[in-house]
Amino acid sequence: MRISTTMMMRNFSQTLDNKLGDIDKYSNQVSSSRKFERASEDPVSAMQTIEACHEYAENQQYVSSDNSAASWLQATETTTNQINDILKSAQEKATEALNGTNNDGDRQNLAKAMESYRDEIVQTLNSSFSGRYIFGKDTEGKPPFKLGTADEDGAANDGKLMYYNYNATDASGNPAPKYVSIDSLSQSDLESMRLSMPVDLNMGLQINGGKIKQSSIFEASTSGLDVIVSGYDSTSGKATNIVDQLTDAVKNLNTNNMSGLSSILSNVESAQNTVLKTNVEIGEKEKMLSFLSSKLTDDETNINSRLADSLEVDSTQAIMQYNISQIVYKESLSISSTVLQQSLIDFLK
Amino acid sequence: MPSTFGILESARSGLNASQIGLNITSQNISNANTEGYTRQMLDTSAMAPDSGANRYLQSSLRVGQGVKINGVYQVRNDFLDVRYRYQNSDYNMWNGEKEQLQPIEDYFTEISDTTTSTNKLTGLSGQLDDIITSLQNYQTSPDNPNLSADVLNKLDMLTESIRQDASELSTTMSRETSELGIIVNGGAGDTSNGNYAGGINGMIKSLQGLNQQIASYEISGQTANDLRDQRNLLLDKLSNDVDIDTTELSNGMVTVKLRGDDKYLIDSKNNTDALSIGTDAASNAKVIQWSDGSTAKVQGGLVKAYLNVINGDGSGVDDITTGQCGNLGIPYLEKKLNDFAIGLYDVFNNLNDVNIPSSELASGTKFLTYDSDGAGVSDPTEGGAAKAAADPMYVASSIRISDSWSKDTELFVNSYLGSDKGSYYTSYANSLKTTAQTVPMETDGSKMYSGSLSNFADTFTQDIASAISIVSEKADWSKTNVDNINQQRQSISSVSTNDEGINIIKYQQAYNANARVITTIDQMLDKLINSTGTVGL
Repeated sequence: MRISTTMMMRNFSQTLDNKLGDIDKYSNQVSSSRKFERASEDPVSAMQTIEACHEYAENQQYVSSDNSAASWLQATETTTNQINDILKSAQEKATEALNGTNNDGDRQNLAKAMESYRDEIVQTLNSSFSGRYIFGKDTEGKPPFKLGTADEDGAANDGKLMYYNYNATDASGNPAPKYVSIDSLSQSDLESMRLSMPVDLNMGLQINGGKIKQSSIFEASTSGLDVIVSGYDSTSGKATNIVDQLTDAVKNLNTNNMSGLSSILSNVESAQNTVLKTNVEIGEKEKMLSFLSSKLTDDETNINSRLADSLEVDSTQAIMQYNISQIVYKESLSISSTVLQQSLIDFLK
Repeated sequence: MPSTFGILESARSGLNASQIGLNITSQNISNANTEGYTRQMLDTSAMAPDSGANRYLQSSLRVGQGVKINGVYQVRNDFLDVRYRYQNSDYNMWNGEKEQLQPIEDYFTEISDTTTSTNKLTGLSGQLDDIITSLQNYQTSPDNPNLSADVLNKLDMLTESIRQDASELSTTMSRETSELGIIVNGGAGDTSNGNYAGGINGMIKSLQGLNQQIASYEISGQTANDLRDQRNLLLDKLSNDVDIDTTELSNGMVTVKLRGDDKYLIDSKNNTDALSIGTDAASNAKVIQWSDGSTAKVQGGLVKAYLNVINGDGSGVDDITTGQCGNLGIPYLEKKLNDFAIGLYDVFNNLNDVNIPSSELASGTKFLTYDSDGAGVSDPTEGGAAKAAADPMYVASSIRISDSWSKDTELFVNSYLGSDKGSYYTSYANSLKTTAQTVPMETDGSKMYSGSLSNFADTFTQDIASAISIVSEKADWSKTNVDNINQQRQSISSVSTNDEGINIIKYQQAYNANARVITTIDQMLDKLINSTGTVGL
């Protein structure tokens, strides 16, 4: 092939362009530590990267949900433990009250103590955590529990524990939440009043007709009614609770009705059992969360390594390539300056 | 017998040829770097002996009468020119398409800032991830009004991104169309008088003029080398823009036609036809038209690249007569973006229908809305085909959170009065990311995307990246071909300083030798004329 000066010039400039392009490419790789700048340079890796990023985002969502669910459960546990502590003190006083040697003054003091335990229990039931009642909803709304008063709730509900039914509706089906007395509720009423705090923790969330399938989520909320309702009346089937029982005990102590007081010790004990049962449930849930949390951490590591595979350049290799491209470029430069230096014209005399 | 002074005449022709040779060498060297210059050479032949009466003398020795100069010719291979122009059109088509799609890719890309430390996507899909994260945060504190504002903000950003993408696509479309106009018609200039200031039509006018000049120059039997160089250069440039076929006629003119068409840009009578941009009545695609209004079948070059981007509907069907392009182009992305907007509209509005009591908001007040959402039209896909014909991005270009929803950032949380807010948000998050959610592609009823909305958003990056990757591979491949052919052309036609150096030596030596011959003859004649018969003097 005939080689002309212009051809060589053109070839050299093209070669230098290519070498410079290599340097640009490798220096970009080294500085950004990415294999490619545009998705079109490597569509398959780009899609793997996007996929991994989605999974990472999802994983982070689950991690954060797991953490907040765990702290919520901790707050719930603290509340139930507090109730348990109050019940323990109440148990001591109840034992004392059953002692036949008490005089009127002793009984009045005991009645005062019982009354303050009762009020403490109601207060504790209304504890809140991060802007929400533990056993209810938003702290700006009505608290979930209150002690009924004769003025507001009628004489029948005086001193009775009342629960705010968030799920109540009016005749036309619109939401109409209101307080109801717990001793008027049957077991099925209690079920319908449950609140839910569904947490999606990658358990295969399913939604049917706008409703979340309960088995496909993690239920973070604990029903306050489960904590406080210690049994059902054997004849009426209505719920009994320790607050009402303490109110009765106070009345009985004040009127020295020892026969009416006889069941108080067993009542406090069954209330304690109920609280302990809830505590066990909460403990089980916490165990599950910590198991999920360690699984999510493992997943995160896997996702990160996949992301590194698809997106990241091997830095040793990139730096080597960069150095090699520098050397090659320098060589090309030195060759082009020497080869094209002279032609036959230079030797004509 | 040859004449006494015949040798002098023969030497003179040698001197003359060497001088002209040097002249050509000088022309070659001075044009060594002129674009499109073809090296020239001297065509000589030996002059036959005297054809006079001595022809039949057997005893007489006959010697030629010197050198004859036939002309100056160009060293050029016409077949390589044709092959070069074919490949060059292909290369410019693929490369043009790549260069025009790349800005669009940059606009839709998800991974522009992604590193292994941020793990974050930045496009539509990344913003959907953000919204899902915000919704998931609700699960454990559904009553927090700040989170509600957060979801609204994120959603507001996503709808804004969709609107921006839509306006970017429209801008790109109009920019592409006006650029195509410049390529065809050139820049400013009164095209009505055929006064083109450049572009394809301008080049054709220039070629017509060159044809004319070359034909009249060559009538005398000489070759118009430098005019031919100009014409070849212009034809090479024309092959950047459209795929042309050229044929040289015996009178030195060339005809130019489109490779896939019967009509001529310049016919054998040197008449020209001008191209213009029009719209095909059947396919509604932009097409290049002849002056009689029929479609010019352009299949290569930058013009085809522009047509592909302007018309590409992603259908996979190419029809050269109606101008339909089946590749990925702006119309495809417009339709896709609109489908994405409709998907988002459906997800958010359908869930609101279920959960928000009508007493809270005026009847029919949607969470998301768009401009042509007339009263009573609850489904954006109702009459979708007609709406899409008027504006392919009728939802995407104006999708936003409706006024009554966006006024109060707490509305999102306060309007919801069902039993369980946590479930409400979880449902949203779930709708956006589960595969059960289908995105209707109503503007094309035959297609249905069965992945999640989030995956659908990914396909923007995916589609554009694969399209660019394919055209860029084709561009690389045809670039190699163009370079190879050009290399061969250069090998034949370009000026080499070494060659010209040798020519200088060659012609100088020849000149010297001829001069020497003249001196010798001179001395011989001197001897003959002045010294003959002077013996002993």
